[in-house]
Amino acid sequence: MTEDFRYYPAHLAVGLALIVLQSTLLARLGGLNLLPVLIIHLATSRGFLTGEVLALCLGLLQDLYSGSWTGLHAGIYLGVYMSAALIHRRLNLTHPLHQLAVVFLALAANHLILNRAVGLLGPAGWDWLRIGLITAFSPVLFRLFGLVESCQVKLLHASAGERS
Amino acid sequence: MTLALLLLLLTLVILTLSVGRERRLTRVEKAVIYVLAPAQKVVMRAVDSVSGLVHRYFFLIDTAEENARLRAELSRLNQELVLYRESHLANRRLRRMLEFKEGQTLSLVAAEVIALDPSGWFKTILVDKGSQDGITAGMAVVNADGVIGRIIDVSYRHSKVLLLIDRSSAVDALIQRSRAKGILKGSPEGVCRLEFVIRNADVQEGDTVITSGLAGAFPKGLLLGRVGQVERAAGSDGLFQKIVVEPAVDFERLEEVLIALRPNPFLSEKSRD
Repeated sequence: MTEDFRYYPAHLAVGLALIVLQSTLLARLGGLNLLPVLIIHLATSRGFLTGEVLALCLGLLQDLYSGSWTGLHAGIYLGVYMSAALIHRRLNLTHPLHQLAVVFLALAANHLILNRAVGLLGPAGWDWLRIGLITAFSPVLFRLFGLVESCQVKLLHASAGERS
Repeated sequence: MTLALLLLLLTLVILTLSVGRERRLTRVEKAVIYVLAPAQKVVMRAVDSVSGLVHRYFFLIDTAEENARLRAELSRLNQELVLYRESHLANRRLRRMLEFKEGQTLSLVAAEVIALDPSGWFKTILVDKGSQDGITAGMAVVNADGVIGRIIDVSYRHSKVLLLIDRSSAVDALIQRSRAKGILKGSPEGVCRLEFVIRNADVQEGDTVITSGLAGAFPKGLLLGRVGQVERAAGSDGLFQKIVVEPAVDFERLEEVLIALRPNPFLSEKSRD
């Protein structure tokens, strides 16, 4: 894995777009959180350094818009990223089924940690259907994230060509 | 890997510092909200327009029946309104006689909902009014149906509202009919629970729940909801009743809200800035 910062703008833009979608359209549809899928994509495609910082930034961004404590989502996403990246280093998670399993585990871990943290304030609800939906939809999102990356690479190549 | 551990440590420090403290937005956070808000506003308006269209289409089928029912309801409510006006006039006369001061009229600011909680775990909304409009943390947020929640974060042009149904929300409330007091707390099921109401207090299904005016955050007498279910423990078990309250506000269809410009007296002057 290469520590490549070229994809930072693309991933940040995707993260911001997801935040806008999640706080508007997806919130009306029952609150679907797609950021963990982006984190898994980063973990299985990017270098350690690049993804870690992005995972932290995206988590802090989510904390800003959520009613949660600052650092809660940041910590969870960083943990999810590190775990997924370590598993990917050992098992090479390129098969779609393996990626689905990791997405499901990440979403379940995200839920369980939030449930424990928020559960301290009262009884917590649980929605497996939401997690199932996001997991099932994740291959499409992986494709979409890959597409955005390739678009940025083309743009970078084009601008490099113009300079030379 | 070292960087990962350092970042994790940094996150833990941030989390430890933020838990249990009043949240203050940093300049960077305010800037992010400022930049993203227009996009959220546009998407939210589009979503509301489409959902409104779908909603209207489906409900067009039942319009005639609904219309007849609403006319009957209106007629009944008009009769009730006459009775309430009479009661209100009697109440005012008695108040004057007892030299009670009339409650202050609330000064309200209208705001538009531009975003909802992106995680799906917390019940918060973002509105397009902030400190430049005189909004401060702790102010009550209402609409024509009743109480929506209170302001928890304020930036220059936007504010975050903690909804009544969020599990960390707690409002001092009372039953309008019997004046039984309790604390109205949110729950993940989208309803509220009236807690700490003693076992022998008079509470019945359908009772109206209003704000008590205690604790300062909400003015007295604002509608919170209606009692949906009352459960008393058998025998001598349990000091308190289990009361489920259905909120008066439909939180799924919030588009515009009103913010009551009355500062929370329990917030310090510094935190209001």
